[in-house]
Amino acid sequence: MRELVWERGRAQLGVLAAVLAVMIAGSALVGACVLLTTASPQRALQLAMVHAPDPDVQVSVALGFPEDPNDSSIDARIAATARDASAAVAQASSMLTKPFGALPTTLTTWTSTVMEYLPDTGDALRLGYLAELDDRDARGTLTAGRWPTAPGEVALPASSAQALRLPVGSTTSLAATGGGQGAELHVVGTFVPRPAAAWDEDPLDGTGIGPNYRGYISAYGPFVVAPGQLAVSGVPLRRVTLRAQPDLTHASAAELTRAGAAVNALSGDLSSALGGLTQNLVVDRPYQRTLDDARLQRGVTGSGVLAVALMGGALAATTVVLAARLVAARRAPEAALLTARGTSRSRLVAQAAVEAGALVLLCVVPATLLALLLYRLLADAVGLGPTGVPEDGIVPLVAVVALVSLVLGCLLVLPWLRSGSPRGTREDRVGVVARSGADLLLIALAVLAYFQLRDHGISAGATADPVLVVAPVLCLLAGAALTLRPLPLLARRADARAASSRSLALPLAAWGVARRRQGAAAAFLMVLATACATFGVGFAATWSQSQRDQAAATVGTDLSVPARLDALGAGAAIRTATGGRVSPVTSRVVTLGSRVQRGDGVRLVAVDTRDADALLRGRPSSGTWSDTTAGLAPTGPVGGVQLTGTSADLVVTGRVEDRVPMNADLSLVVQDADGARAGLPAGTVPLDGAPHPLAVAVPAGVRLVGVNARLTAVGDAGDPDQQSSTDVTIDVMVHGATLPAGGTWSVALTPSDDYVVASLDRITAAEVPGGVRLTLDGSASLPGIYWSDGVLTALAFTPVEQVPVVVSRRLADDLGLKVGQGVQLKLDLTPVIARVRAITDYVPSQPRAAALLADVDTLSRAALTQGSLTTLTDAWWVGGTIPAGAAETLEAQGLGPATERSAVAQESADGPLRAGLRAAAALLVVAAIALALVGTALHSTTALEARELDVARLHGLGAPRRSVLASVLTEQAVFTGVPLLAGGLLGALACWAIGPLLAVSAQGLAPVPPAVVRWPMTLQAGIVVALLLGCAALVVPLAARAVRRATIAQLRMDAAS
Amino acid sequence: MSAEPVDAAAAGARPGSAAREPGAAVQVRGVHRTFGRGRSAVHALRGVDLDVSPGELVALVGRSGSGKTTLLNLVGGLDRPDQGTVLVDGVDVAALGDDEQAELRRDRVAFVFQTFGLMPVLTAAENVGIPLRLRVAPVAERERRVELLLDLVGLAPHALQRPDELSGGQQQRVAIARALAGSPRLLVADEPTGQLDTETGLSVMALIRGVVEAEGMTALVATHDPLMIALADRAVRLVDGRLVGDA
Repeated sequence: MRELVWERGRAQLGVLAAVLAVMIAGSALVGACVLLTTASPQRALQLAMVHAPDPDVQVSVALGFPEDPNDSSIDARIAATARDASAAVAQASSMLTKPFGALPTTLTTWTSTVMEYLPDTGDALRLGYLAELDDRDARGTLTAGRWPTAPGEVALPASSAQALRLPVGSTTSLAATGGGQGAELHVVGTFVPRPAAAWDEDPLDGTGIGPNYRGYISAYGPFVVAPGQLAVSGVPLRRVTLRAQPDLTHASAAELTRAGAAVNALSGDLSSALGGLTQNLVVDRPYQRTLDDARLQRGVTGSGVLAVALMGGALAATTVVLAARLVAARRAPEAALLTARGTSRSRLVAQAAVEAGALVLLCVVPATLLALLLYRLLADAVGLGPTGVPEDGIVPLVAVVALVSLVLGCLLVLPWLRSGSPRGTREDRVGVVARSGADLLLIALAVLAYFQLRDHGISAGATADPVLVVAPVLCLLAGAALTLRPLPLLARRADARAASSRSLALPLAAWGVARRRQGAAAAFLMVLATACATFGVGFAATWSQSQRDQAAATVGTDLSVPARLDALGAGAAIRTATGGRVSPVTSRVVTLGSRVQRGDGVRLVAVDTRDADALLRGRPSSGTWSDTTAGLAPTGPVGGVQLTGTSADLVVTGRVEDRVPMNADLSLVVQDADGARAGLPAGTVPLDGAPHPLAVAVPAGVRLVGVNARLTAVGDAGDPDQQSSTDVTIDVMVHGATLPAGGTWSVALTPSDDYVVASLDRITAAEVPGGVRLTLDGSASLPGIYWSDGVLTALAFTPVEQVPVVVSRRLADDLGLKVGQGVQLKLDLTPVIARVRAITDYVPSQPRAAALLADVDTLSRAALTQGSLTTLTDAWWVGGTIPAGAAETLEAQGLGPATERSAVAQESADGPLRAGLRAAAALLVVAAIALALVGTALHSTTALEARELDVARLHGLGAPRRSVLASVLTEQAVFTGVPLLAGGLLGALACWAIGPLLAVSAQGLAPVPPAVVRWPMTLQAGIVVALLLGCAALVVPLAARAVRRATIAQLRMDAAS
Repeated sequence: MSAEPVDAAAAGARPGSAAREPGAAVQVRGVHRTFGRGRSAVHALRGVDLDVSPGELVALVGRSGSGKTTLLNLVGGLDRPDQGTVLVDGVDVAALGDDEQAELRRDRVAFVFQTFGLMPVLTAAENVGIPLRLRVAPVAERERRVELLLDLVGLAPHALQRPDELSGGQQQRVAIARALAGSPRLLVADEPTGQLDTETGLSVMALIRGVVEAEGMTALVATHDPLMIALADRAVRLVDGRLVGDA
C-alpha cells in the first residue's frame, strides 16, 4: 500500500502540492490569528500599560481622621494616629510600593490638618488649615517669598493671601476655637498651585478659598509648613494621602500581571493593617482599573480575531474539501479498478488516510513558521513593535497548527468514506435531501446567531465572547449556502433557453453550467471567499469608523482641556495654540429632580451652542448639532462694563439709610472674551458713606457683568421685635472702565419662598469721567440682617429663569421626560429650572450617561440669576483642525492635559489593544483571495482536464476550436464569475447586516453612536475585480491548453475515460 | 499499392446495393503516416491507395493496430498524412486548414466512433442536434430532423435520456443518428460495433446499411466483424499499414 501511495503521490505531485499549500495556508492563518489573540495581546497589554497616563497606573490610599480627635467617642488609637501618623504612614508606604516589586516607584504624600480658626477680625469667622507637601515645587509656583524651611513658617496660595491680606512677612495664627489663641505662623511665601499637579486631596481643590465652606464660614489655605513640621505643629491631622506611581517603561507583561494581582489584594491588606488606626480608609487603584480595562479590550479584540480565524479556517476547510473531492474524482477510475480487483473500501480509506497523514506531517513545520512570519509582519505593521518568540513559547502554536492540519487532513479522507461512487450527471435524491437539510440547519443556526448578536450585550470579560466569534462565521457560511440555492434555478432557466437557441457555443456552456455537478463545491468556495474578503474590508472600515465615531462622542469635541483653577482668560491662550473655535464648558454631575446623585449621576454638559457644528463632535441622532441645540442659546445681549488692564480699581461708597452699621462683602462677576465667567472677591467695605478703594486682579480684556454685595450687620440687633427695613445704596466706581453700547443691567431674582433679608430694587450704570459708576439701590430687613446675610446681585443681562436643555435618551427614559417638560436641577446648591427642548441619543462627551446638554451662556446667566457666583467653567473645548503639537504646547503652558479627538480615535482604532482586529481582518482578506485563487486553479485544472474529451468529441463533429474554446470559457466564466459576484453581494449584505453589530466598543458594549455601515466601495469592487482577473488569468490559459490538447487520440481512449 | 474493389457478391455484399455514381467519393493516394520518431516510430500507414465510389459502403478490415483508425482519421480530416494525398469529393483534405477541416467534418463527413463519442451532459436528442447547431440550422428544422432521425434509429422514446441512461447499443444508435443529422456525403465509422454484443452489433450494422442506402451516402467502416463485412459493398484489408487486397 505504501508503494502505491508513494508512486501515486509522485505521479500526482502537482495536485498534492496544491493541497499541501492550502493546508499550510489554512493552518498558518489560524496559527497567526491565535498568536494575535495570545502573544499579541500580552505585548499590547504591556504597551497599553506603559503608555497609559501616569494617573491611570497609580495606586493610592487616603487615611481619614476625625475633625475633632479629642472627642471622647473617638477611638484612642485613631486619635493617637491623628496626632502622630508617622508609623501608619510608614506602613502604608511600604505596602503601597510592595506590589510593584523591582519596578521603580515614586511615592508622593499629601498631609493636611483639620480646619482651625484664623484670628477674629470682627466681621466674620474664617477657617484655615496646615498642609505638608512633599514636592512643593511640583505642586506650586512661588509668586512671592520662598518656601518655608523653619518651624512656624508658612506659605499660602496667592488667592488666600490676597483675600486674607496676608502678604509675605505678615503673621497669623490658627486656633482650635473661634477667637482662641493659636501658634503664630509667619508668612514667608505665596504660591500659585500648578494646574498639572494633583490637588484633589486639598479640601479647597487648590483654589485657596472656599466660600461658605462650613455654613457661612469661609475657609482659606493650605498654609504649607516646612517638611517635617506638621507633626510638631500640634494641629491634628485630617487627611493623609499616599500615592504610588510606578515607572512601567521597562516592565514586562509578567511583571505587570504580577503587580496587578498584588494591587488587587491591596485593599484588603491595607484595611487589615490600618483600618483600626483611621476613621476612614480609601484605597484607590487606577492601576487595577487600567489593567482590567486593558484585559477587557484584549478580550473584545480577541473575540474579533478569533472570529476571523474561524472564517479563515472555514475557508481553508472548504478549499481542502474541494481539493479532496477533485483528487477523489481524478482517482475514481483507479478506485474503480482497485475495487473491481477486490480492494475493500476500508483499504481505500486507509490509503487516503496514509496520504493525508503524510500531508499533515509535511504541513506542520512550514505552517508554524509561516504563522510566526505572518504574526511578526502583522504585529510590526500594527505597531506592536518587534516581537520575538511568544512569551509562552511556540509549543501552543505548534499544537494549534498541528490540530488545524489534522482537521484539514481528515477532510481529505472524507470523500473516500462515502459509499458508492458518482455515476451519472444527475444528482441523486438522497444527496439533494441531505444537502438541503444541512443547509437548513446552517441557516437556522445563523438566524439564531444573528438575533443573539443583535440583542447581545457582548460579554464583558477578558476572554473571547462566543457569540462574537461564532456568529459571523455562521452567517457567512449560511449566506454562502443560501446564495448557491438560486444559482441552479438560474442555470436551469439558462438550460431551458439553450434548447431554443440555434447555435452551439452558448447553449453548450449553459448545459455545462446547469448539468455538471462538480461546480457546487468550487462555487461555494468562491462565494464564501469573496464574501469573506469583501466583508473583511467592509467590516474593517465600519469598525474603524465606529471607533472614530465613538471617540468623537467620548471626547465631544476636537480638543478638550480641563479648566485650571483660574479659568478666566485661558481661552485666549488655547485659541492661540490651536487656532480653533474655543468655548468654556460646564461638565459636572448635577442633581436632577428627585434623582439621587450617584457615581453615574446625571451629567450636565453646557457648551456654546451658537456655533455647535464647529464645536461639537460625534454623530447626532439626526440632522446636525446645530439642529439639535437650536433654541438653547440665549437671545438677549450681555452688556456690562469693559475693564481695562489687569486690575479692576474700584471705589466703593455705601450708605445705609438708618445708619445701621453694615459691611458689604463685594464680589465682581467678570467675563472673558470667550464667555467664561467667574466671581472674584473684591473685599469687604463698611457702608459708612465714605469711599473705600478696592483693587481686584483680573485677566486682561475682561468685562464686568455682575456685582454681588453680601450685606452683614455689625453689632447687636437691638430690639428683635422691631420689624422694619432700611434703604441701602452702594456706589461702585470702576476707574478706567467704559460702558459698551447695548445691554441692560438687571436685578437678579429674589427667592420667592425664603425670608428675604435684603433685596435690590434698582441698578443703574453710567459712564462718568474717569470710569463707570454702578449704583445699587436696595433695602435690608431689620432685624433679619443681624441674623443672616443679605445679598444684592446686579447683572448685566436680562435674568434667565429657565434653561432649555436637550436630554439624552437614557435620561428621558429613566425619568420619563418629554419635550416641553420642566425639571429642577441643582448646580451644587443652586437650583435651576431646566426645560426639555429636545431628546437626543446621547450628549457629546457623555455617550452612555444620563445627561443634559445646555448652552453654557444660558446656564451661567441662570445660575447668576439665582445669585450663584461659582464659576461654571470646568473645561475648555476647541473645535476645528487642531495643529500637530497643540496638545503639547498647551501642556507646556500648564493648560493640560489636553484630550484630542484624533488621538483618542487613533488609540481606539489603532491602539495596541485594538489593532489586532484590523490586522486579522487584513489577513482574512489576503487569505480569502489566495484561497479563492487556489480553489479556482484546482477546480479549473480538474474540470478542464475532464473537458478535454468533450472538446475532442466536438472537434470531431466539426466544431472549430475557437467555438469550443468560447463555449468552455463561457462555462468557466459563469462557474467562477457568478459565484464571485454573488460572493461580493453576500459580503456587502453581511457587512450591512452584521458589520455594525460586531463594531462594539472597546469594552464590548454597543457602540454610541450606533455603528453605521461603511462601504469602501472602491476597495470591495477592487477585490471582486481582482478576483475576476485572477481567476481569468488562471482559467483562460487552462482552457486554451485543454482545447489545444484535445486530440483524436483521446477519442480512441474514450472508452477508457 | 492499390486495392481493387472486390466483387460485392464474392465479398458477401448485399445484392441490390446502391448504384455507384461516377468519380470517387474518397481517393487516397500514397498515404504514409508515422507516429513518433527514431526507434520508437510507429508506421501506421505505409503508402495506402484507396478509392471509394459515391454511395458505396466499404468495410475496412484489419487487426488492431493495422492502421484502420489512422486511415479513417485522415479521410475525416482529423489527422494529416506525412506523405500522399487524401481527396474527399475531390477536395484535398490534407491541404485544408484546421477550420476548413472542421468545416469538412461539419458539412460532408460524419463520424461514428467505437466509443460512441456522445456528450454525457446532453440528452439523446441534444446530442443528435449538435451537427445542426454547428450549422446554425433553424430551431424548428433542427427539431424536426432530430425527431425524424431518432425515430429512424428507433430511439424516439429515449430522446430525453442522457447517454449514461442508455445501453451501449442505444448509445451507438444515437451516435449514428447524430452522424446522419448533418446529411453528410461520407460516413466514417470506426468499429461501430466494437463495444456491442453480437445481437446489438448486428442491429447497428443493419441500421448503418439501411441509412446509407436511404440517405444515398458513402460509407467507410472500419471493422473486423464478419457480419459487417458481409453487409458492405466491398471490403478492403489493411495489414501493418498496407492495403493487401480484399478481405
